Amino acid sequence: MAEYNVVHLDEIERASYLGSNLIPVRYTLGFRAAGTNAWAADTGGQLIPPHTEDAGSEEMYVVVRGRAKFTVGEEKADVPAGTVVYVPPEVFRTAEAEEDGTVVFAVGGKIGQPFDGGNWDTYAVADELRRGDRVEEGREVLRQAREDRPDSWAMAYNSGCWEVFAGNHDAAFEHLRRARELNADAVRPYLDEDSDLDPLRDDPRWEELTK
Amino acid sequence: MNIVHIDELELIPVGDRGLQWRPIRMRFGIRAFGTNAYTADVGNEVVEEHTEGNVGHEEMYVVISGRATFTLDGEEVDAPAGTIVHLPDPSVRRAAVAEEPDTRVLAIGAKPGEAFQPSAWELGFKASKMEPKEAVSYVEEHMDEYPESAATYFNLACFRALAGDPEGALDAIERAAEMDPDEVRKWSENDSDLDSIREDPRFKEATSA
Repeated sequence: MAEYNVVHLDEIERASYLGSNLIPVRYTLGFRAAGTNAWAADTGGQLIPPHTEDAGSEEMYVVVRGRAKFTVGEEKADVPAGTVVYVPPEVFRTAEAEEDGTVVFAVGGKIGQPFDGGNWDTYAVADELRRGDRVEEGREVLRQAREDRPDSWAMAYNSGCWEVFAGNHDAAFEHLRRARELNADAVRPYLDEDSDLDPLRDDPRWEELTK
Repeated sequence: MNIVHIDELELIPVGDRGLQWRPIRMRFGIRAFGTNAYTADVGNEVVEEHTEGNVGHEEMYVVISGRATFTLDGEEVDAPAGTIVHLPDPSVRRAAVAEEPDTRVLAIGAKPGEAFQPSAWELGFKASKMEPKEAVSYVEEHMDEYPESAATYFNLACFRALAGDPEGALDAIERAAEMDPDEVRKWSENDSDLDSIREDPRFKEATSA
């Protein structure tokens, strides 16, 4: 048997993320070469969450179905199916659907670095499961992700946030401590500012975590 | 805005089975991942038969429109628009044929765990459409953007030979043979581009076993 995976975009379970509907392609297939996801929306709905990528992060979008209105920097464009939009690093982008059933495929990576993404989309999948009362399945998604990437502070940190929402503060502290061990400098600003963690701030363990 | 419809991308015919290569990565100068589109008329090749064994790329193909039949190590897979074919194993032999008009396939690939580097074949395919002298200039001008490879020097040797520069062609074939003698010997055997230098002792030396 040849080793390959075949899946249709419509078969992948979607996850809401920052006001958009994510089709988590990379997570579903375990693709390791680049960030690869898709976004779906009906007329007027948000396809790509408004955001700006870091220095060195290139992204490309391809409208697979329907029609989208893209905003890139200050420019707007009406983008029909079969069209490719390239967005350089550090430029604002978003898109909304102009037809029902519009799907946009997205590819991303960092210049000069191996692909090391997969935090935010894994979190989106786990969060969708949690919100759908499939808490144990969501927890397992994150457990597996941490096992696959034991040195990822972001995966540990996201697991901490997820456990706050799941109501398991013991587990949340454990993941956040681990995140801090892995990269204290990276975690610090999030501990200071992330409102996801507000339910932990009065816990006696908070001081220990943040000292 | 950097925006283009796949049908408006440059069309570069590849091979003899109707494959139409639509370079995306080169068009936008993308350096973070490999990506291209392919189009074909019904019955023609929309993914060239190949493996990624030489570069170790993990690949994903997305059927953007139309319908394709993929053949993966001999197994046929029906792939209507919206289908994703993921090939984690570079050694799987892959190919696809267009089954409907306006079949368009997007390809994405890179080697896991390594910073992406563009594949040298892009340079050869792109230049193969040009007049030999223009191809020589194009390859010489752009080869620094790619990892140094025997394939690039081999292509340069072919274009120089066709452009009437036998000394330059011999320099390039010697450089290619230094890098990968076995492959260069195989490539040289039946490539008529090199006929004008085939009898030269330097050519024989570079391509001998």
